[in-house]
Amino acid sequence: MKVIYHCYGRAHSSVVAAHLHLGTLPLAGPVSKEQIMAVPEFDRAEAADFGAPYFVGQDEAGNEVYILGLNGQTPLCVRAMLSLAGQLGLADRILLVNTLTAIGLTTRVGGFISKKLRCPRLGKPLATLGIIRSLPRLRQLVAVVKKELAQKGQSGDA
Amino acid sequence: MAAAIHLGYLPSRVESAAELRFFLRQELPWRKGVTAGEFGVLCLAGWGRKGEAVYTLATGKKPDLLLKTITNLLPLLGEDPSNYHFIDCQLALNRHRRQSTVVGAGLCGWYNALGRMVREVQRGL
Repeated sequence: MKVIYHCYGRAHSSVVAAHLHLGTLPLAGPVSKEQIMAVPEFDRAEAADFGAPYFVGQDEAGNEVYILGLNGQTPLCVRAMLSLAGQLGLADRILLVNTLTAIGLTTRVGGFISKKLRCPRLGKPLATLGIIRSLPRLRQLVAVVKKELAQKGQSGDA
Repeated sequence: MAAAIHLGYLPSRVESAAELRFFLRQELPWRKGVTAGEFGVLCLAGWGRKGEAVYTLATGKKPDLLLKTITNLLPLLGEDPSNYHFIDCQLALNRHRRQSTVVGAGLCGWYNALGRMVREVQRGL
């Protein structure tokens, strides 16, 4: 199974969700700003990376975890990806997860300042603060994804 | 319309507006297009003479990111992107608009420009 966490620019929420999924960030307990900022892909991707899935790692169950930025075209691109997978008979091999639903205004503003205004010194710490505030929702999202994957794995085995 | 021409539901060239009107009055598939909610949905239209699958995809006004995304997804699904040809029908129509004094104006010229594009695509398969 391929899990694709997607957001606006694949620089913040999808990156953190992917690392929560892979266990490089903890699914419980406190996380510091430094831990978030030390994530290699955090606040890195640029506009040229939109639309290109980036492989982050493989989870304990062998699922491949990707991150993807869809700019402001999430509904259109998600429909296209799912319909493509469906036409190929592979719709059950791909799980698209929108991480934008789990973050708040602080991360969005931080991301905007860092990426659009090209001021990462101000934007990155703000996005980090927003991510820490959104961690419960991101963790919950990842937990749901993992549960879904486990169920799919069981039904696939049966 | 291009998919219908490719599959042979419609001819690739018409001689007159009356001939085109005749074809457009027939109850052929995909005459009414799609709604905005269906943008991005890949639809299998049918199979061409060489066994090629023909799809339609409404991309909206900004097709670049959409096409980049699905092209990048293909290898993840075990598919070779070189087996897929994404044909921007709008390009053929824009080209026709620029040359409309040469190839004939109106709906008939527009249709024949689309037909030419489809023939080029079929030759390239």
